[in-house]
Amino acid sequence: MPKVHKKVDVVTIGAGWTSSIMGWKLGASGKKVVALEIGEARWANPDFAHNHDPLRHEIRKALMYDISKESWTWRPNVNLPSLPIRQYGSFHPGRGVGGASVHWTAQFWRYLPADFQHRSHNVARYGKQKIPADMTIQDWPITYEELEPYYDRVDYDLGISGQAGNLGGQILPGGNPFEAPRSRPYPLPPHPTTIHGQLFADACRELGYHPFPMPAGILSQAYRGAEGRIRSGCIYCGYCTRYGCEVDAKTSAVTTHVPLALQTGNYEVRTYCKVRRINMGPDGLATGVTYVDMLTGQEHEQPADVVLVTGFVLTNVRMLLLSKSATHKNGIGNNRGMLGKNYAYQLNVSPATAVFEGRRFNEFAANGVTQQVIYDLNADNFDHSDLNFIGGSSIFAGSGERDPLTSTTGLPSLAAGTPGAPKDSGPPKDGQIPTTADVGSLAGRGKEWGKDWKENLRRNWDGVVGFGTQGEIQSYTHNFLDLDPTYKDVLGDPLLRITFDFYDNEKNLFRFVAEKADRIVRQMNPSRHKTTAELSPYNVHQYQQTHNTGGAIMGSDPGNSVTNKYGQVWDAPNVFVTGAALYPQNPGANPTATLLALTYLAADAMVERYFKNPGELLV
Amino acid sequence: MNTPTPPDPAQDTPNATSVGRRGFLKAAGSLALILSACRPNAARGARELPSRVGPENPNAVLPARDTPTPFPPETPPATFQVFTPHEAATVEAATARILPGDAQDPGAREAGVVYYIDNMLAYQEGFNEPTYRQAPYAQTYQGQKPADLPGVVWVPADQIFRYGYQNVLTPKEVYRIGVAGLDRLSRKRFKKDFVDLAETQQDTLIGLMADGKAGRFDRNLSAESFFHNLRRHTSEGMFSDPQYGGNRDLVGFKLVKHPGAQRSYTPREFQTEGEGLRRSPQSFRELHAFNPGQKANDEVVLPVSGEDMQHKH
Repeated sequence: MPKVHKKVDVVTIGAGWTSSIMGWKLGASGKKVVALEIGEARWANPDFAHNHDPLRHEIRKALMYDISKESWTWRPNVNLPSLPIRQYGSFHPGRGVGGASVHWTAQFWRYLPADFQHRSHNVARYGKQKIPADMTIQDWPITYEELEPYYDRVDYDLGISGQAGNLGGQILPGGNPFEAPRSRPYPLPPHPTTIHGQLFADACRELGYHPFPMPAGILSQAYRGAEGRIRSGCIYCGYCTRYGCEVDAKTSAVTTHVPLALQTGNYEVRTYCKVRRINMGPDGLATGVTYVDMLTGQEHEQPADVVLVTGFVLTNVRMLLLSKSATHKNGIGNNRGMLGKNYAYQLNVSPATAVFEGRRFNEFAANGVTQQVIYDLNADNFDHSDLNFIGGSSIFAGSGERDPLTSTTGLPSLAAGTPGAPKDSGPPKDGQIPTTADVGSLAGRGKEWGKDWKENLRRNWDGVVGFGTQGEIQSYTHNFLDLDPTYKDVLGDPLLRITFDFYDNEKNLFRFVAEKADRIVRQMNPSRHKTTAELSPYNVHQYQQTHNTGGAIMGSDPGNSVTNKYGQVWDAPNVFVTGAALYPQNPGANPTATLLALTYLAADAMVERYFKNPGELLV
Repeated sequence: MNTPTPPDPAQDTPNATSVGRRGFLKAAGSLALILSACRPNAARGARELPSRVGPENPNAVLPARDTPTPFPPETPPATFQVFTPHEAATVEAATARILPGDAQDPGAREAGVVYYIDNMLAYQEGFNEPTYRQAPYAQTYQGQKPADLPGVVWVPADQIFRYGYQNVLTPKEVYRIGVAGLDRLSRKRFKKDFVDLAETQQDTLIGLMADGKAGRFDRNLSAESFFHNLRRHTSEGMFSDPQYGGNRDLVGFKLVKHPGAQRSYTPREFQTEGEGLRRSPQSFRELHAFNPGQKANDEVVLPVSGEDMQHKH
């Protein structure tokens, strides 16, 4: 028998960033909000006060979702079997209050106006034939202009660091000349650039590109955010991505929106609670959720007027799929078979690595945003008329926070890049079923050993410059999410199955970007370098990024989407979805700033309109 | 399928934990002190955090601790927990060829890499990270797909690497099978166990394994794959904190000139080439605690498992 709680206004599945924004805005309007979180509660002090332990964070994945209890399965396409992701690889969802925002890198990007009209923009400029039949990209049901005020509020509530490139239409020197017009400059100046980041920027400028400092959700100076505290600027300790920030300089739900939500007195977080399904009433509206207290095994029921699906992308889609009922036989939001469609990812494969023999760039210090970036080759910032792809990618270099644990096994060998050099081995391709050390989300699988490896480590560990990209991935009929028929979570519920691979647009885009990256890396004049000319098929063993998108996309009507622009599910109007599951395809930039802005938009619409006519679709 | 329910009437006191407003205000109070608190105090190591555990509950689906990732032991064990003396000697000899050294210029042996590996294997069969282990496991095939077999997922041999770790062997079994296989290889070629070979002979065998020319040790483990286990764990034992058993005297950090666990750098420092050469490498334990003696810490209410638990230090 489940333990039934008193009904509340709103229940959220997960207590991450979007849950806390909703908790703040709805809580402030007097609604009682209960957040059910699978992980623990944590604060910078004391939880992150003493955590410079790379084995625990980088290798043992201390802050990540416990995939021994619930993972995801993957297959490249419907003709190959699905297998569970048994250890971390491709992406790193978080666990605990604040979710993955606690361990993120904090690149902070707005999308470009054309990103929101992706299909119509490309069709207008290049014609219908530019979009292959299996490519299911579509326009967002919202424009940049509509979202700009929310982007702006998010910037100032959190304290974003960067150099404005387009202030109300005026192009400013030193910023991103391709960015969308912003109504105000960044609240904080950009982060300083590392030595190797500067080498990259200089080479780019010499080649006619427009490098600029990476916009960041890390404070470059002390700042008083919306929560009213003064937070410290970054101390560049070098333990950032995959760690919690001990000075709260790295912005997260825990620095800002969880405190704001708790201050309302109407936001309650229950930890170690795993939600199993959303319950539906005979009228087709949600009545609340069923969850299990994972420390006691006790099943609970939390009735609510509104259910907010606020977990990670994959968690959200799975929750909607699992919630089958008499009124929603294939899950919530799936009455027209749209749930799970348009799953996409990002192209984050390093196209070039340079070795500067004997140089010492201090790459162990700083953070993941002390970089310089070019946007010249992103989105539709360049003419695609004679190119065999749409979209683009940013290119950047100069990250700090480099640790030997994740950079010594894959260090380019002393011979790398020279003619006739033995190939560094990637994962085994002889049919050997990978052991835990043949693959791994962060450590590479080079094969240099003995005196050579030692000399290489001694001389060159701190002289290696890796390029990064954030490339677009289009949506296709072939890439989608559904429930796995075989593998289950610890409670016996099916895992989510990901069917995903790269297709021609991604391969052609990567080849184009790799050629340009090769030119830039040569301009930097390193001792040796290697470039990756062709995109390998997608794999789940290598960390790429946690920018999974789609599966419960927003759109203009129920025939092309699961939700409207507020994340309100067309066929269950008191269920709202937040986060990147709403994105119809994935632009070439990190998803976080946009999903925060969208949550602000949705929260305002709920407070101002939804609760006046509960159960009605917002228009 | 869920566990016995106590005959408890429905009530609004959540059995699971709540972060209440009071808890936040206390936490916020302590956070506000970050900028001013600099009083010296005993370093508060991360290993003190696991005291924050829930009650042991036989019905719990999650282990009764705050994260699935173990904290390292206070003192790394000086004896082997998993390896037999012969296995330990073999792994030590092999890793010492992968990252060679001597007293003047330490390598894997001097760093105590074999202790790191043994320590790692002693925990959860050697799995370093949360690992999903539900069957069925994959088997590979070349050419025509074999007939369906219960409990087997057939995957083409040229596709399996894309799926990441799928091997049915635990890391502990990999070492058991690997060491035995290395000795078989050694006896076949040189008529002696691996540990009894000259270093040049050992190098010959390591080279064969690295180049994929030493065949298979087991149907689930190629010699090349075992080489990559040795190499990966050599790196981990060389460059993780000494509390995990390796990197003794920080010889790994000294090799690559990594300053280790430092509290902070200024932009001017990291923009000056060679900053790593100027700092003395530091272990996690030598790193001073961030908010030493912060009184407010004691009042932070961190809720676990149905009851608020106070931190006491």
